[in-house]
Amino acid sequence: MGKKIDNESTNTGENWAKWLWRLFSSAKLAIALILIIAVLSVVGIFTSVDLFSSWYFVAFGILLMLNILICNINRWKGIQKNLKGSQIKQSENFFEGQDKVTEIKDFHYAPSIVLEAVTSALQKRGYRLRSENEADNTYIAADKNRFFILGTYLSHLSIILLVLAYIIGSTLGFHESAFIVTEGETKEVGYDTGLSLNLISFTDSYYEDGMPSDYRSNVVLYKNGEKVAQSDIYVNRPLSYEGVRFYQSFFGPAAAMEVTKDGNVEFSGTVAFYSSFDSYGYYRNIGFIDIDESKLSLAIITPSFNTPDPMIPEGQLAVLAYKDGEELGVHILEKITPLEIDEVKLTYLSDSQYSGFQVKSDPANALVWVACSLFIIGLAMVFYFPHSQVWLLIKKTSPVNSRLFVRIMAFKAFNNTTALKELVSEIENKLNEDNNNKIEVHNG
Amino acid sequence: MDNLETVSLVLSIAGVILSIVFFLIAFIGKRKRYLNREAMESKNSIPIKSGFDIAANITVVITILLITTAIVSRAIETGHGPFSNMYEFALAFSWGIIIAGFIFHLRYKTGSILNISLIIAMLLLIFARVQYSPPNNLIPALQQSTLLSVHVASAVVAYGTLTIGFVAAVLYLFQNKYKSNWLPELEVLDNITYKSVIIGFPFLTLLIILGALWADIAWGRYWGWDPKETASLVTWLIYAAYMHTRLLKGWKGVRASVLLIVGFLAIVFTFFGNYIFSGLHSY
Repeated sequence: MGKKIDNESTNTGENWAKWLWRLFSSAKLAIALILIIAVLSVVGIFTSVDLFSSWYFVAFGILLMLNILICNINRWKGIQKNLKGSQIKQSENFFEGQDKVTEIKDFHYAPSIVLEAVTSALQKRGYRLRSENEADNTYIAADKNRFFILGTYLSHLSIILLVLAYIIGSTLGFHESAFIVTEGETKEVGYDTGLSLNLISFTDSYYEDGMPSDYRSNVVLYKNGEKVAQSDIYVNRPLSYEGVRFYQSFFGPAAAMEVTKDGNVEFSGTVAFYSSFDSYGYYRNIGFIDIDESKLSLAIITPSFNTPDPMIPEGQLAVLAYKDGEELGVHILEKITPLEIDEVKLTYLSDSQYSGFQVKSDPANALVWVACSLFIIGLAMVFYFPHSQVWLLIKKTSPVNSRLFVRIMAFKAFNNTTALKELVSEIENKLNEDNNNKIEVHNG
Repeated sequence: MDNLETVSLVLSIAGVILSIVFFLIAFIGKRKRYLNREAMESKNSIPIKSGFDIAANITVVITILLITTAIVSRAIETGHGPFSNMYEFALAFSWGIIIAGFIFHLRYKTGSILNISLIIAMLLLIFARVQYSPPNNLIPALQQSTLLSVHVASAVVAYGTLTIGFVAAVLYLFQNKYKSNWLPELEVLDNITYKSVIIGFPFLTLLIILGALWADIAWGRYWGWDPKETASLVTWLIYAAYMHTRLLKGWKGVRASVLLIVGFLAIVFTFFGNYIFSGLHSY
């Protein structure tokens, strides 16, 4: 009794698996998913919600990938058949269709002459011919571009490869979107790369209308303290080293500053004013110095680029000091003149700039390029080298008469009717030509 | 150069209008002769080439040369392909549409499709004239001339051919309803829509791929769901759906035409999208 139940449950399990397989190998599902993703994307364009990282968008994406994968596995048998070439011998019924892809013609020529014309017309078009003889019938199956149907695999699998590349990139790689280095500073990249980037100088230039024409960072890259590269990084020209890439992304003002306590230097370096805030309609940039030992935190504030500020005179900075989280008050800081805050002396030495980079390590970078190339190659193969098949039957109706049956099936894209007409008329022309020549020869 | 460019553009608008008029006159003439012959003898309708047909073809070629002149002189002036603003795009796309229309016309002898394409191209050229802007300075992200020129070149091929597909699809729906003997047969129209996608779709794919590869070099990311990126993906998905419905489900005729029209609307939306939303693609 128990055994029987087991059997049933495995059966239903199998049925489920079959049902799922059938579902995911259906073209209808593929088309539905494509359209659903298209509609969701349109919604995504018009809504501020980040729809593209929502679970349902991702879920539909995954379903489509599964769908593509299973459809392509399922198609293999058919494609294999096409690669081998179809059955040569076809019945006469096969050539009698209403769908304008078949034609039957009688000729006052012997089958061998018709065969010759057929062969030359097809070969001229680049077809591969295979034939079989049986009594009074000659069967021919011709095809061309059969290997180009494999392009469909290149295109579809390249989509899977792209998704794979994305997964590899986001799990094994890293992406730091705001890696800020001030002039003169050397900053560690982290992520176990052993790399650090030193910004030697930053330059920006502008067109007359104020649009940036160029901004670039002159940097030196160190690996475990050893210099490994020096170059200019600018937009469209990232620096690449061992799979880690540095992109010029943004830039801004900075100030060289020094903090001393009892004559000892507690901090000496450049402060980047990389975040900005709006204070009663005035935009200001802000950067921080933390003196851990004194539990002191200094917020350095500068007016935003090119806008006069009523609180902070031009060429000066505001300092908001905190000790242990408690505000100590606001000070205005002039260049060179040291300012005493709590137990420390703060000096604003000079103006400087910082450069903002994106740092990216994408182990799948090459894979993306490969997948993209395969995608295009695949499409070109299928679309521009269409697989096409022709079946023919030459039937001997009398020693000097024959009947030609033709059926054509080009890649569904192309107009079979036209192709058929062209082929048949070429065969006819060939026959007439050869015949006329022969008559001429006989006459001569 | 600046002058030559503007003069060529204005003349090309005149050229397009003239071509449209010539085609219409030739078309009406053909129709008349066809009706006369039908009344007189049989309805054997061999289209007779009139002088206006030839004149129209000549003006189309001249128009193409004029737009080419405008594009080339602009490129000499800016030192890069037409990729930096809407004026340059519009110029390039109108060129693509007329060339595609002309090639399909030579291949399929379908004056009506060329004629409607000419109207679309005319609108684009007028748009270009209105939108004219002197060469603008390239922001750093756009200083990648090779990749972007190829990117826009594929857009020209893709959008040009797919516009022809759209025109044929519209005519198909019209023809399907009214069975006009002025217009090409349904089968021919259906074939043209398909051919246009066969040529256009791979270039549409190339267009998006090149865009993504460039985005990675310029911004450090392949894809960021920027509205223009997303719109181009939607366009691509619609044409992908078209391919699959046709190849796997045998969709032809009306349903296929409707999909193509939706696809073309997506192209228009992608093209003019930067007026609607602001993204990185504000150019």
